[in-house]
Amino acid sequence: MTAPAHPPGWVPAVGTGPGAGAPAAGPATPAFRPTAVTLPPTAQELAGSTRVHLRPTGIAWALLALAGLSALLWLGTDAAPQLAIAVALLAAVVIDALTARASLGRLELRLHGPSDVTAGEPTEWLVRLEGARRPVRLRPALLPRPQQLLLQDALPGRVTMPPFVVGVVHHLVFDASVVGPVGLVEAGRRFRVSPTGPVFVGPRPVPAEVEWPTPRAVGFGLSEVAPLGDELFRSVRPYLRGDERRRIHWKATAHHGELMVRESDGTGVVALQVVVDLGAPGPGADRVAGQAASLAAEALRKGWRVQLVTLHARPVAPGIATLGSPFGAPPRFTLGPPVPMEHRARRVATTQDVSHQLATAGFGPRMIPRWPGITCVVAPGGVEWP
Amino acid sequence: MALTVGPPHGASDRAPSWGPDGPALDPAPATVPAQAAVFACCALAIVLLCVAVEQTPYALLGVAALAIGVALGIGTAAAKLVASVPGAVAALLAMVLTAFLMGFAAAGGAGFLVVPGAVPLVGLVTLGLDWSRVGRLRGLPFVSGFFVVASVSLERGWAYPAAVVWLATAILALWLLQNDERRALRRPMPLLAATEAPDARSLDLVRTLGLALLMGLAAAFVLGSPSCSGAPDAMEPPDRFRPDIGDPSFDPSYDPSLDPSGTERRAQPGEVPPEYRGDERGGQPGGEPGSEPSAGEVRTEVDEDGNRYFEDPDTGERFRINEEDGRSVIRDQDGEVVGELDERGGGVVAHDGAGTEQRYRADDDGRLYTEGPGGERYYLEEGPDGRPVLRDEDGEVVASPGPGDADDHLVIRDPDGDVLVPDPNGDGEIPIPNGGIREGLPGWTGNTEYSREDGAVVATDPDGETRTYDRDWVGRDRVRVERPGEDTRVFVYDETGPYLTVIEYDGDGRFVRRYRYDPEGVIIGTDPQGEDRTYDLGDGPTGAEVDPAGDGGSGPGGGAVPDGGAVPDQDQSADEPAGPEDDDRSLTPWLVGGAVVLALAGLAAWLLHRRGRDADPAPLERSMAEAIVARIEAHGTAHGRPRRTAETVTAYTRSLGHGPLPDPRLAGVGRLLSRALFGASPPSSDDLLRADAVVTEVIEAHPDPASVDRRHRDRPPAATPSAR
Repeated sequence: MTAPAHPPGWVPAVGTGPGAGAPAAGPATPAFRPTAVTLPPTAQELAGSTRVHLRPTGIAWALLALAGLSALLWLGTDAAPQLAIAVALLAAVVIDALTARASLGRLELRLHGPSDVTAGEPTEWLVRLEGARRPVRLRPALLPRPQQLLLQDALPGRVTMPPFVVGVVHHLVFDASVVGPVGLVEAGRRFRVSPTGPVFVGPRPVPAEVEWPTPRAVGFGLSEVAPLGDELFRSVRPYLRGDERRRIHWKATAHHGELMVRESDGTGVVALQVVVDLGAPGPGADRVAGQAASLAAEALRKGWRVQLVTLHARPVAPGIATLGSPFGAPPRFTLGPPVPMEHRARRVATTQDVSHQLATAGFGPRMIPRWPGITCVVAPGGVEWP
Repeated sequence: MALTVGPPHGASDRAPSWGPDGPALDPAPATVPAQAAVFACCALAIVLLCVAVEQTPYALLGVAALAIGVALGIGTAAAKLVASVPGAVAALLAMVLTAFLMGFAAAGGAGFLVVPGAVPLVGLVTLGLDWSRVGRLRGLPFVSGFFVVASVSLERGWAYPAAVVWLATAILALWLLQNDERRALRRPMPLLAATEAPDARSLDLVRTLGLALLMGLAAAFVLGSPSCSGAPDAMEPPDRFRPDIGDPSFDPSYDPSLDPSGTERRAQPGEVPPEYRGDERGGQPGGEPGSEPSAGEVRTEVDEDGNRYFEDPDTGERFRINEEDGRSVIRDQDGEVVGELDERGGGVVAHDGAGTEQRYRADDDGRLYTEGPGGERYYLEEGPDGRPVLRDEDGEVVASPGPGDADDHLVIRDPDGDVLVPDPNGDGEIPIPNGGIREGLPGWTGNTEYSREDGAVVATDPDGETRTYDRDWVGRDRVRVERPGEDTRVFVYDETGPYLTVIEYDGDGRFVRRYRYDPEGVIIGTDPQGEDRTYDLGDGPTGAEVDPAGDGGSGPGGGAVPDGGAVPDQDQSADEPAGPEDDDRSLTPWLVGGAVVLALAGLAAWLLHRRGRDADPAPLERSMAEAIVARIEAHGTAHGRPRRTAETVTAYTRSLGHGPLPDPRLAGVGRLLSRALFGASPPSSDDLLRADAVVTEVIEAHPDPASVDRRHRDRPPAATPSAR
């Protein structure tokens, strides 16, 4: 699996996913992590947005140069119309800047999206602006910069977000900008927007060629519908009217000389334990997580009982060192305090459970709890059946 | 906003994407109003430029060429020619190619008609082909502005309206283009069907345009005219400094029917009154030359050869009148043409140095005079130095000859450029600046002695008048005139603007008066205000220098050339009493300009400071590079090759690549990391990701030797013979 689009500054990439995070133990190599900065957050950062930045467009610089040339010519020729042109052009730029700046003063951004997302796949979100006095151009603070979308009123609209990397999305950073009426100056403001709840970004399942072992039922009466489970045999008894014909035990019938049927304690279920060892951070970890997700999903489809064992890292929202400028580089994030990790062995019943647990999986040594069923270890070296 | 209920889009509709897989945005197309506005802006610039350079026919051709190009670009597939290359660039290339081909054709002598004016026309046609994209059209108002700014520098009557119209058109065009660009942007897919709100806000245009024009015109009127006196083309000297040449509306001799322009104008001195016009000769209807003289006529006699002549009653010099090409030409005894006799009673027609026609007639005493519409007479007589002067009826010298035939005094003319006017306050003439003294230094010229004193040139007349020529601290010509029994005057000449400005100070440096002349020598304004302003005549820091090789004749004061003498040394002393005047109008624009430049520099420095403060001190690329370097260092240390102190990343990775981690790619990774950490242009995140992938492969290919050893230690030791 290749590394998904890894937009720098995209919040969920930091801290908790397989693509990032510090190992709890062991000599693992360090991951990509932004430089730790322990600056206290500013008031604007706490408020979730920066001040309004202004940036003249190319035509504004050209007109300013024309105004400067006209003013210089006026100094030489004393022709008042040249002075009028120079001052008027300068005034137009200033008025355009003020108009654009005033449009971003009371802007607020609302964002709603799904709670579960698969890494590398675009998702649709709802976005809404409040307090917009002019059409606002909006785009995520990513590199390379995506195209701008125009939001003109307070009605919500659907947009497609770029793919996320594995992890937990706590907040997103957007750049909003307004261009003046004449298009001379662009006013921008960077927003940090928190969804209504954390968004878990699970790995994209990676099909792995697995040679499944012979299923072995465990438990007692756990499931009546396990298609691949084994019946737990108890004994045989004489046939009674109403017994199913398929339950006749022909061997015992031949032995006893009368129809005998078998009795069972119900149908057993196959239990699979998937131990995930992400290995070192990087593309290999994504591949391991994807294979684990695929394996677990396949087992769930078979009706097996699945337990996922990972090194769990509690998701912590990363801090933002500085939001920066809406016309500059994406924001930088702080690492925050070290996150304690623990092994988590939890039964997963749905692919959503698998996605959640793998989204918070960390790096570290593997641990295989006792398990009565089949145990599978998904590691960088492949899938092992110890 | 009106809403309708129900989802407007199907479930399969995909919302606009911010992702990398989203469809690329097409260039914003320009609507017809925006195209028309840009066209009007460019057409106006073309017209202004052609009118300014007096090539009016090319204005129509230029606009037509541009229109043809636009029509071709919109109506045909010719726009594909400029799909990948901007129309402006293509226009330049087309012009160069056309010029080359025309030059080639002309050099070949094949009889091709070479029309240089076709070059810009071809460029305009090519430019018009690219008239459909917002991004391509946005720069054209800016380009047209260059031509408009250059055109309005001539400050003709249409300059103000042209500037205003161009500004309005340019801002309107930019506003329309901005609306088109915004209209082309994608928008989120609405959940509810909503009516489209109008996104073009005309109030924004009105506000921006109105305020910009208001501020521009206000600044032009406040700063652009001295003493807030209104438009520059309306500047005229105060009436009390102008000759009383009468009011045309009350002038009985004024005949508007004879004015070819059909507009009112001031009558000229010596202009023939209507009652004397016609086919009359000698001032009388049907009169013959040599008939009885009357007032206003020129008496002519007939000599022994039958030629007409008249004599100067003062000098007795005889002037002959020859019939040449139907004209009665007056020649002196040397055969030089001195004038022309207007046989219709207009008197003697002479031309001054500037080629302006002056009419002179003779009075009963035979004295030549010129006459103003008010009836006052100005007599042309010989001055004390033998040169002709113009005296009024009281005998006061009101003017002296001008450039080309003048001594070292300026000629002052009225706004019409014809009438000699007296020195405004009558206390003396304005001397020519230093440029007029280009020869004869030191030495004698006529009765004037030229000498050098402390680096300045001093001209001393027989009557004791001295004129000291030097330069002030800013390099302007300065003449100090001292006359016995009269106040000393200092004249400073400023030629930095479009006009020559002569500033007159008294001997103590107090401002007296300012005269402004246009390049033709016509006085266009005086400023008698500001008596409290002073010109520091104390010890100046800079030396004065007289231009010994001045070309003279520049400006209205040039042209007087004292004869004889040697070219002076250029070494000048530095004891000139000069200093900056506090409020000299000629310095005001430069002071304002300097202040503006300083303000802009300060603003730029502040912006740079802010940018530096807001700049990310450790951008993401640097963090990624540091992480990769840490991985390499950790792995290199594990392989027994730690990074040495002060060892560069490049050297370290090269060493690893040739040593414990043999991989040639490591050297390239090191260079990339070095550029990311210390370079001015860090590599992209993608490059660093690829570098990290390379490092990962290297690490996986060369695992940690400690773990390998540990694996070996976990194996059971092989049995040895001794153990067996």
